[in-house]
Amino acid sequence: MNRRRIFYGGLLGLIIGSSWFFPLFHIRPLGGDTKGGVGVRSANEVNGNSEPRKLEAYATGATAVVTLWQAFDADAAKAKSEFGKQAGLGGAFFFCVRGKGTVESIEHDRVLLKVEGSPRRVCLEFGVVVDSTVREAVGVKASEFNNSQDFNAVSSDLNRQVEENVISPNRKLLKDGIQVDFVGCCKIGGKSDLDPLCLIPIQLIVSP
Amino acid sequence: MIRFEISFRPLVGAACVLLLLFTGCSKSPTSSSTNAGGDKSLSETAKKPHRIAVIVSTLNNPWFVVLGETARDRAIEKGNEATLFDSQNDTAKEASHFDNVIAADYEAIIFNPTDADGSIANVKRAKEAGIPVFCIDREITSSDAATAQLLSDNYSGCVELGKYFVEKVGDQGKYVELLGLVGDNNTWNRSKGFHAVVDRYEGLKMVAQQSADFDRNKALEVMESILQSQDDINAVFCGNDAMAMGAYQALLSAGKADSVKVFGYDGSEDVIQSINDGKIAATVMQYPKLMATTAAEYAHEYLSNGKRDFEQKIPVSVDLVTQENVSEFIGYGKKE
Repeated sequence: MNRRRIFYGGLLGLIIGSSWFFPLFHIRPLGGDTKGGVGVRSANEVNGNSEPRKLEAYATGATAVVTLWQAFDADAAKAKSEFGKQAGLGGAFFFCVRGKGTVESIEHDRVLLKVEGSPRRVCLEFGVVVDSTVREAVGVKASEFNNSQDFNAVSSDLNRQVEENVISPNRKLLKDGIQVDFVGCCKIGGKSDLDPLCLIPIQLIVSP
Repeated sequence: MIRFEISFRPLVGAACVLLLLFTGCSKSPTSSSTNAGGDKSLSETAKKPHRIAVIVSTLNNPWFVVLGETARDRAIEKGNEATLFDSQNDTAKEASHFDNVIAADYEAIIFNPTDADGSIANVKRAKEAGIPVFCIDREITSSDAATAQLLSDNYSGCVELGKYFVEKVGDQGKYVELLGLVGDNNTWNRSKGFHAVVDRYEGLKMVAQQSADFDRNKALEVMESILQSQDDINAVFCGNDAMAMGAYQALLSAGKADSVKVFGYDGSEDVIQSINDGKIAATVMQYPKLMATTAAEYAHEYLSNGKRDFEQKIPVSVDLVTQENVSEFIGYGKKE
């Protein structure tokens, strides 16, 4: 009888041990797959934490506008691949550029600047900002998001920041002859887009 | 002497339990026939034509027929065997197709999902079986289930459409929006892109917003119903071209086709012709052939050449088609 008990006890132990190391199923919390993939972000996160995406963070990586013009004059295709970001398959190229210029004229929705070190001009778009130019130019990737609606929400949020933090406070400061340090985003299809190069401003520093 | 007696019956039972335990655990995503990403080893599949399944949400809409048939034909052109499956916009049918495809040892799936969330489980089952899945046109809301997802940039397309809408309708007026399937992200990306522009104009009032499931007949019925209570609208924005054609038909029957501007999305053959004829105001050209061809080539590269470094979500560029530039386009693409 004792031997039988020992035998069954051992067998039970073996089954429990096997089940521990080779479980037939795993229990996970509903909706608990929060990893979602490497580096996946929600709409307003940047660099994997919950800090909102700030425009200023993107301004530092901008290309000098004169360098970009020179690169396009030399080889447009190379300039696109070297300085631009392509928005997906067959998409246009977007650029983030910086420079310094003097206000030449002001219209309702745009400000024309004569750029230092170049005969070419830049125009700053001061109207409503609705498309995805800023998002594409600063290099936010669709793959960072589980849901493309979050990816598109980033576009809306960046556009809102442009309107509230860049266009609105600078609208009254810009006058003919004023010097401006600018960082802006644009889409360049062909050479006709280069002069004036129209930018959505993401940073403006107006000299007094 | 103590006589030792033991019954072998419980022992056999226990052995069976253990056997089940171990055999049940023998096929895991990291077993020897699969790599860490859950894909089949190349040596298993290198010597015969690869079998690729193309599972499409519906073949009741010509746009999806082009999408599915192009993917299948391109896969065959690349030397694979390929079969096209129709989910009929039914998640249960879609799940059943996945069961069959997995059981039949297909090696890759080109997939147009029926539901952004509901289809994830199917893709994960395929992945666990070592089958790569390439989503086209419609998204699944996951970044670690599919091998890659090729998706039209619907939001940007509808921002452009929204700008043109304001240009043509003006900044004052009443309009109706017909939504697609409410469980599909394309529906909301298109709607939000459109509203990102149009909502900036206080004078533009949306008097009705209803779903017609991307279906022409439903759009006809929904539009007829809306027209009974809203007889002074200026425009209709539809989430796809099939609904635009249904809405146009309803407006035609009500004698309003000339006074109400209809806007679609897709670039289907009948809407391109209707823009040419001045019946539809504009659409956005998606490129189903480009998406399908690229997905088939990705699947081929995966199976035949061991390519693994796919971008997870790949937006595909779209173009606004209006009466001003329609001559550059044909159904489902640009003129060569």
